[in-house]
Amino acid sequence: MKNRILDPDAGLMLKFAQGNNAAFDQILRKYKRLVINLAYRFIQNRAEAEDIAQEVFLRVYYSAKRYKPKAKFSTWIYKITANICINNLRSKKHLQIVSLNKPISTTGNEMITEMPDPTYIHPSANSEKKEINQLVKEAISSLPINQKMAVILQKYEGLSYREISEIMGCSIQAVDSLLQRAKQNLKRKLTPYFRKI
Amino acid sequence: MKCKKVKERLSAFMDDELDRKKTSEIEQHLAECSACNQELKLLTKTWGSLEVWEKIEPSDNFEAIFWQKIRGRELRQPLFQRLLTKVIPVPTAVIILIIGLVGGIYLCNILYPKETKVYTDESLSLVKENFLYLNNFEDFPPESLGGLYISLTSKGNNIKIEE
Ligand SMILES: [Zn+2]
Repeated sequence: MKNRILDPDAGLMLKFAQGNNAAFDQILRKYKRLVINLAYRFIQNRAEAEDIAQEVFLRVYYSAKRYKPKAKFSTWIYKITANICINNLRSKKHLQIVSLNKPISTTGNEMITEMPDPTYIHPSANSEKKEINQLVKEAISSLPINQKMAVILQKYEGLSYREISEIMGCSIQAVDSLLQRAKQNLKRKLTPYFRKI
Repeated sequence: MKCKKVKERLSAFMDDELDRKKTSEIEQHLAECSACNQELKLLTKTWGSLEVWEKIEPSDNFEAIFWQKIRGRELRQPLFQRLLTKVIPVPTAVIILIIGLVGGIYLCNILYPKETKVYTDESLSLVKENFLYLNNFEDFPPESLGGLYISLTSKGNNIKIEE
């Protein structure tokens, strides 16, 4: 463990822990895009994504003194972001379930959002890109929480199964299984639109 | 390899997460099986379609908002805590506290030495005077229960008050 090569960002964090505020500013500038985009793809709301990102950096800031570089710094910050996003969505869903008095699903395979009618064709060709974008967003949004997180980390962040397993706190096999199911769900949702895509 | 097994591994195959042996097994199967080929085609198209969703840029004042939040939180802390956490690091604060405590006890001993009671003639006469008032009370008759108690308890403790 001691011989592990220290990545430069973990070095910045250690500098900050010793009282160097400029080091934290560097972390902030370097990671804000990553954190905001992960939160945005997960929550699908820009303002909320910014709020979550602020919360992530506050947590990083106040845990600097206890920080021990066990994993890559990026893995650590991804993990904090993923946790806050998942908790945020779970509490929201809980509120939704309570308010609508829906039965709680125990399978974790439920599709949450209703997709638009695939036979419906938009008249405007200009809005096509926007429409496809919307279809993809809705398809991802409809995935169960863990599948959604795995998709975002693999597809948009380009992380390996091993890194995803560290961030999500599960086995590599579990990541593989989440992505298999997510791809099947997305295929079912998006195939009807492929003539457009 | 059977189609079912291949289909289970297509996702990891697409993500380049299989070892060399498994990868070549899948490739061999795909060269011969049109059903698995079709499945891979659809999955690849699905996965590729996700790329239309573009990234967003953080707001311009993201850092400014962050530092404002930090300042706001620090101002809400009590002054003593702020001094402890910001100006003086915790280990130093603990050492200062211990030095202060030990030094305080030492100084206290020098400035206010423990009083050792010295009975002077004057203080003794004051005690006697106070005891004299007891003479205003009548003695218990020796045969009473109180008298018996007094005589028993005062045996080894003869206080004689002189007038
Ligand atoms: Zn096959």
